[in-house]
Amino acid sequence: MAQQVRPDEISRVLRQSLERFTSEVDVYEAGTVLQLGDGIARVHGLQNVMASELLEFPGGVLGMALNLEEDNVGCVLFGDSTHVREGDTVKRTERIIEIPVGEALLGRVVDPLGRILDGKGEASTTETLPVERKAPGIIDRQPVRDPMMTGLKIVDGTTPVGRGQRELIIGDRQIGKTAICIDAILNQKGKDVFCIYVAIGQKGSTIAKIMQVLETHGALEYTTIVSATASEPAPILWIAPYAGCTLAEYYRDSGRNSLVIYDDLTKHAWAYREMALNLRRPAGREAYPGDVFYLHSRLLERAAKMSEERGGGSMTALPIIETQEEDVTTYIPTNVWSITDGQMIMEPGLFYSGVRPAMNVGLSVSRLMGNAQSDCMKQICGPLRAELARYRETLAFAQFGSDQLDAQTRAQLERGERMAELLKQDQYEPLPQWKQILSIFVGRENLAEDVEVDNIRHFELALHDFFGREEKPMTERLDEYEKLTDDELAALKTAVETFKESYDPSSEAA
Amino acid sequence: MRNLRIARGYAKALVQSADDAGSITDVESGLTVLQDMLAGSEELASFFVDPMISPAAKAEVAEQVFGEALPPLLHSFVALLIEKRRERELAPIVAETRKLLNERAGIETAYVKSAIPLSDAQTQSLQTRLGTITGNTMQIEVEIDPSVVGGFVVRIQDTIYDASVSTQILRLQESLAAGR
Repeated sequence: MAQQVRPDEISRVLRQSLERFTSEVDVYEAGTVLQLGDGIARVHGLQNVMASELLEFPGGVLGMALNLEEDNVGCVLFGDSTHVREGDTVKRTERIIEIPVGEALLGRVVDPLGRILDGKGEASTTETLPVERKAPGIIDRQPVRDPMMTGLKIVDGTTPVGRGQRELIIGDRQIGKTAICIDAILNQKGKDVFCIYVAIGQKGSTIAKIMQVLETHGALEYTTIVSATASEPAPILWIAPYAGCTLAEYYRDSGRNSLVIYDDLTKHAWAYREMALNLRRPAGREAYPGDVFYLHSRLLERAAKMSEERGGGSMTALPIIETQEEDVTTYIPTNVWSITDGQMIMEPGLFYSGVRPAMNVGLSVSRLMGNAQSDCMKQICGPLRAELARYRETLAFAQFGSDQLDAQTRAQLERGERMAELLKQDQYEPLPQWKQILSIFVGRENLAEDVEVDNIRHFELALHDFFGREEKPMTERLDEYEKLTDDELAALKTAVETFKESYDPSSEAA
Repeated sequence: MRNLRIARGYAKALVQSADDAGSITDVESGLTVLQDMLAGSEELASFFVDPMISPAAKAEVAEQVFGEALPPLLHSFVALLIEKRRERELAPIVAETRKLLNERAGIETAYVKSAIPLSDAQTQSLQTRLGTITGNTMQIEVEIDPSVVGGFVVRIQDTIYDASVSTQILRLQESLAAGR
């Protein structure tokens, strides 16, 4: 039944609020818009404005002071500039640009200014942190040594990522760069790692799809998506990664772990170039401004593993760089390459020949290698990189004619082929450590030599299934950190051989 | 923007040389005369900004028009501007010089926006009140703007004191919408 409207009740409430309302003189500092264009405003006045201070333009549009010059201030606008006119008053807010942070933002989609975009109502956060923050110093850090597993055999086996590391993902368009990151987020389920996905200059539909994938896999509840779509003005794209970084730092500084993905920094650099050129800052190589290196270095430096005194939290960063025609020697890729602690190189050639994830093992590195793996993972995966590299080399030679190869080379090729097959993995199916160790162990010990190459993936699935059912204690052991003893290795081998006796290649895939 | 920078340089130089010559008051009154002359005769003003007229001709006219009326320093300053082909910047330079002189004398201008003309008593009390806030002698310039509705808005340099009814209504609207 509809509630009855009582006019006297309404007027009483209104009268009360009117009585409580006190009129005060509004005192603020202001300037006037001299010039406006391309999302940039030149403002006269604002004598005491701070660098990176938020400014309020008419119509609720926010701006940020960037160039503090002798007789004017250059600002960028974070919104629609069509309502702003020459001569308009620009108010100071006396706030440096900041973003709301906290657990309330988990599962939400926000813009880089912290405004909620997913239509699920307000998020109740009280804490805010500045978007641009200083990276922790040497004393506040400790070396990275805990693994941050992505759930991908090829990544965790050959280029492991540690908690607090920055690992670049680089490659052409549409060959699975984002897929690796999404798998990494999915794999953090139940591991107390909070994830931030920063979409810079992407299509709205792509972001919606990613959100849906995360939701269906139950990963959205520990993830915040920072969305700056291609339709946003360049300044919004420019602050997006810093805002995402601040969200992740909240967890890092409270002793927890976070993972932040910048997808991608190429578009970020473009946005910054656009802004800098419009602000009339001198252009350098490829028309980027002189501080484009600092743009990314100060962002990625904020990823860290904090010392025990500072809570021991961590923030891992996975920046993505998109290349054109596999050219990694251009300005932005080389910059970010040199800042990060390693890189995963994605190759279209591998992708189209069915190797997915299409990571080039020979060129990809992680500067931490074994330090970012558990001891048992390190023990099993140690020779993996070298072996795969040898296989690729031999394969290149074998292309001249494989019928004249000696038996040893042919054996090596067959072994490598099976290994490569075992490292393939479907999307959105991150594997726990025990499954990864198991697959790599089979390849390393060549236990699948009598299985047809086309059958390897079926074999692998059946093997995982068998271990999940029959060898529970063994799988629990393989999920632990410690190195495997000789006895355990022998037991593992026996268990795989037991499985092989019952393996039926024609059975339905598990 | 560029004009402002040029004007500032010339204004500074003028004030400094007036200071050295000890003729600040002369220059100050001369500026008023100059401003009045330029404002009074459109012909004169357009004559000085016309790029088709040679500097020599301009200098000759300046000599005849300003020779008697202006103090010698200001007169030669105008001649210098003509020689440097900066006569078009005369108006901003005069405004900038006045600003500098006011700054020296501790005089500040408050730009007041009000819906209706202020009475002398109101202007007087506003002047005194603003004087105590800023610690300077105030000059009041009133502009009538009906959009203020009631009350007034004062701008002193970059600071704005907004006591207008229109802003109060906006505040009230916000506070009612927020349910506070």
